[in-house]
Amino acid sequence: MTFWRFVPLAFRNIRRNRVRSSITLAAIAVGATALLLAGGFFQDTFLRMREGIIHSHLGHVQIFKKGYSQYGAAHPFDYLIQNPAALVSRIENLPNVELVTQRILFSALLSTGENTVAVTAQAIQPGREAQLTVIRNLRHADTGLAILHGENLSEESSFEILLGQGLARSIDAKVGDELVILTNTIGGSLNAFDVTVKGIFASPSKEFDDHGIRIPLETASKLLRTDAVQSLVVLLTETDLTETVRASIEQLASSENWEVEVLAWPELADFYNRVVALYQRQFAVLALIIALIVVLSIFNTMNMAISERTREIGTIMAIGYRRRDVLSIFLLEGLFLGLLGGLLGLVFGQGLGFVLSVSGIPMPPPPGGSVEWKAGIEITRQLLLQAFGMCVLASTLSSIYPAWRASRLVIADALRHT
Amino acid sequence: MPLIEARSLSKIYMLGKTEVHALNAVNLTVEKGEFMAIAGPSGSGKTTLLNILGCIEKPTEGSVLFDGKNVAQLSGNQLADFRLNHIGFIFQTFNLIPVLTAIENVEFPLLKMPLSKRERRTRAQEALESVGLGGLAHRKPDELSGGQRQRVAIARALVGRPNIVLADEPTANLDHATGLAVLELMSDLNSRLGTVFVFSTHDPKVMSMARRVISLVDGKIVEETTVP
Ligand SMILES: Nc1ncnc2c1ncn2[C@@H]1O[C@H](COP(=O)(O)OP(=O)(O)OP(=O)(O)O)[C@@H](O)[C@H]1O
Ligand SMILES: [Mg+2]
Repeated sequence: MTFWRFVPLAFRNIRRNRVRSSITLAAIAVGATALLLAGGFFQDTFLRMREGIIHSHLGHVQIFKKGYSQYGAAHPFDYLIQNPAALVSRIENLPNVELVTQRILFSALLSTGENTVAVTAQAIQPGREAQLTVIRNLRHADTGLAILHGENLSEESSFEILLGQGLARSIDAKVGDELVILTNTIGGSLNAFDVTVKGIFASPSKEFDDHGIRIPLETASKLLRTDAVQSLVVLLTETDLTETVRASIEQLASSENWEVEVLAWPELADFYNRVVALYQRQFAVLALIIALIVVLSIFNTMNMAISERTREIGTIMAIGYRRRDVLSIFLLEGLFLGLLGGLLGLVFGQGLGFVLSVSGIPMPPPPGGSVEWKAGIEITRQLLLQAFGMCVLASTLSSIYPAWRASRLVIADALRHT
Repeated sequence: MPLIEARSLSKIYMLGKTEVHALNAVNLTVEKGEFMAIAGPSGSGKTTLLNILGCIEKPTEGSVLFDGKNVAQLSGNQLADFRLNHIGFIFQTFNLIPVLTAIENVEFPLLKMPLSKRERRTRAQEALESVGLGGLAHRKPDELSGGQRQRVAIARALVGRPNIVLADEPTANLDHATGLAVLELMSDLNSRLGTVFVFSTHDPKVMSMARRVISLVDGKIVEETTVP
């Protein structure tokens, strides 16, 4: 194959017009860099959002009584896991499981004496829940649940609660205030306790901030008069292992005849899924625009090169090169521009991405959230491949027409060209 | 058998709606070993005739037989291969590839041939030496004088060992003395290698070096002189 014999020629022709080639390479490199930074920013946002929702409340895997996801919303107390401690110890023994924590979610009324509001109460195990909120694998990441005033609940807490910041504002409650919590027991009778506000929190979910409270499970058990819980929340050592561990929990459940359903975080994170889908669409549009700029820049460069080299093209065809060879020569030039520009872009993009990640990009609270945060740039291998592929593909594709035009020149006319 | 037999060649170009008769019923026979010139004023059809003999253009009418074979039947790719293997070209403006060195320019046609890198280099070096430029192999065209560039072009035309070299006004961009030297080199190579040279020129001195001169006016051969 003579094709590869043209490689040195293509390289030298790129060096021939240094200024023009530099500008073209810069355009490609900037395109790749933009793609990497934008994509890396989105990736980082996804990652933070994902870890944020996992550590603030979802955990990696949740276990419910069978039927909960279908009917639990209407009759929450009909779908409770009895004797949760037995399940917890078995699941915590599975590989890659960090901890299992128990929860009950219920509606209650909260009264200051002057104001009474309906709240969503999350009954949790404070010690384990605190471990759940630690995010270890991200730079600049806060724990999922930030305590703004007062203190978090602890193992010793009983008859103490945390208020969401929106809720605290709306009922004008402060740390140390005495409130009354009133709810139905699972038997259906009414029960009320005096509780103290121990702290005020901000979570990634504005909804929960405005209507949520947290209460120790022990207290809630007395309030609701049950030892059963609604869900077991499983935290793993790594998010990427979610599916593996879910499968092993399901296996364990079926061998033990537990009447449970096992849901992984992607099935519970509807909002996250929709945000990711939306951002990915936006990213695709952005990638298309960047690719278009790269295409135009190479198209222009190749067309100029071909006009300038008309006589040269006539000459090489006269001395016995086929039209296909001319096509190959110019396609190779386009390909190499793309390869070089893409490589430059990868280097630039990763360098810039690293700097931005280390310093952190200050961001306003995300939609539905209430906490300011710092974004980084998370450049994945897939993103590198996409950006590089975009450069190579765009430059080769945009060279096709100019190269084809060059290969169709009438030899005699090209030779007479001045 | 003659090397080339051109029979009643006509070439009509369309310039807008007017027909330009660049060649008009030209008959020409080129014998093996010849060293001949095509003379004629500007626009008389010299380039057109050379292009048709070189299988770069097709005549509107008439035929060209190469070694008795009609080239009209060949496809574009076959014509390209035919030119690669049988015809060398020299141009008025040298037409070297500026990014390649002298030896790489000479080697360029060989890239299309089934030769090893070593063979290509050896043959290119030999061709450069045969035009007296063995020492300047690694200069780029813009580091060479006009005469040197045309010698590189001659080496490139000869490196594929063609039967014939067609040169369209090879001396027109050179000063008189350099032009004559280039012509002398061509004449010398013609007698050493037996390669046929057909060149066009305006210059009477250059013309006088040919053993046969045909004169074109308005696309017709008006005179043919042979040096005995
Ligand atoms: N592509 C073309 N379209 C139209 N007319 C053309 C074309 N090519 C050549 N001609 C015309 O054909 C005629 C012969 O041209 P040609 O170039 O063969 O002459 P020439 O003898 O080589 O002239 P010169 O000494 O100026 O190079 C001229 O009148 C020229 O204008
Ligand atoms: Mg001419």
